[in-house]
This record gives sequence, structure tokens and C-alpha cells, in this order.
Amino acid sequence: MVNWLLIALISWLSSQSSHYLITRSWSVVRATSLVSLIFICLFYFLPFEVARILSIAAFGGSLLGGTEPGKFTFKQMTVASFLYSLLFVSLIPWMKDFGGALGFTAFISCILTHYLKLFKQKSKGIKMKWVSKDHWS
Amino acid sequence: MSFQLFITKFLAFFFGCFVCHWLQLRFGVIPVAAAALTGFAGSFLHLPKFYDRKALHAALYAGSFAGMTSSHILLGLPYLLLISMIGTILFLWSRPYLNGFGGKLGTISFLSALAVMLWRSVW
Repeated sequence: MVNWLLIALISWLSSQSSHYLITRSWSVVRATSLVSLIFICLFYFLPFEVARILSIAAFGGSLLGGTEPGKFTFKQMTVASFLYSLLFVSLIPWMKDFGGALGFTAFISCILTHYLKLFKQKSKGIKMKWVSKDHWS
Repeated sequence: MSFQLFITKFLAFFFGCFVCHWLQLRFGVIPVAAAALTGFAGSFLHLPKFYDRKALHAALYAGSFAGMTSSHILLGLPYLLLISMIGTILFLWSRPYLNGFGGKLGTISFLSALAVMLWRSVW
């Protein structure tokens, strides 16, 4: 549980930092790789076993932050990081031999967040319609 | 023109894949550090505007993700070439779709690694 919370926190931090750099007109490749390198260097010197997993989580988190600016708000990016950490804990042990597994996990969490956003917008629209109908009758 | 486009993207993808894999095998660098180093160094490659610099950097970074694949799956140069070939085809095919979502390049590499794994299990 503590490990998962740490993973969620680190992936949130790395996704927000790479997303911040991208909004400052950095190229996606440079921003995500630099953030990953910083986190990897930070965790490399920590003597805990969980540090290695955290550096891997940070790498995937930075890829999540590579989302186009304006696509997600701060809250939506937080939701995406949370989903990513859940997927990371449950999926990565099964896919660790495959390159791109972290990116794939980040991509799934992005798509899920996007559909959650659409679903929320749709449900809001229906509610507003209902309220206005009720109001006028 | 389209053949030239394929070749340039293939070379970028293969270069990223090869360098990332080589860093792991030769110097024992952990896969995430190898991919991040390859991507960061590759993002400074200056090429003429004709070559669509951004797309080449993206292909190189996608290649570095593919290079993270375990050496149990990527057994040598032919497999590196195969994964780069599949990755480049997927990269070019997916260009108009799902742009702007983080992790798209990783997904391309993941699917290529999965395809190589399937290839190995079939042949």
C-alpha cells in the first residue's frame, strides 16, 4: 500500500513536470527524457529497494506527461497519473520483458481519462437539459 | 518520396533501438536510463528541415523504447532489424491517429515487441 502510494506520488510528480516543460514549448522527446533522467539519477543514489521501481514508475509518468498541452486539465492529469499507478502495479510485472510496456500503460491511462472526461461532459449535458426542462415547466 | 520517408524513419528507429540495447548490453545501464539517455541525446540531432526533424526524433525515441526489450526476445541484429521494421510500419501507419496522447510511441514499441515475440513463437 505504501509502495503504491509512493508510485502514485512519483508518477504524478514526473507527469506534471514533463507536462509543465511541454507547455513551456519544450519538445516532447527532450522534456520527457530529461525528466526521466533527473528522476533516475535521484533514485539511483537511494539505498532502498523500492527506489529502482520508483525510477521505472517515474519514466512511465513522464511519458504520460507527454500529452499534448490543452488536452487535459491539472485535475485530469492527476486522474491519469492515479490510473497509471494502478495499471503500473497490476500490469508491469506481466510485461516487464517487453519494451514500451510503460508507454503502453501510460497510453491506456490517457485513453481511459479521455473517455472519463467525455463521459462526464455527456452526463453533465444530460443533467443540464433535464434541469432546464424542469425549470421551464 | 514515400520510400525515402520510410527509410529515414526506419534508420532513426533502428538507431534508437540499437543504441539503447547496446548501452544495456555493453555497459549494464538499466533499460529506463538507456532509453532516456538515447532519447535525450537524440533530441539534439540537427537535421535539415526537409527530414521533418520532430518526427525523426519521435521515431528515434520510439526505437529506444523498443530497445528496452529483454535480450531473451531480441537475440541479435536480425531481431533488432525486424523490430525496427515492424515499429517503423506502425509508426508511419499510426501518424494520423490518436495524436497528442502520451505513451503513443511506447505503445508502438510494445506492439512491435509483441509481434517479434509472436514471430519467434511461430517460426
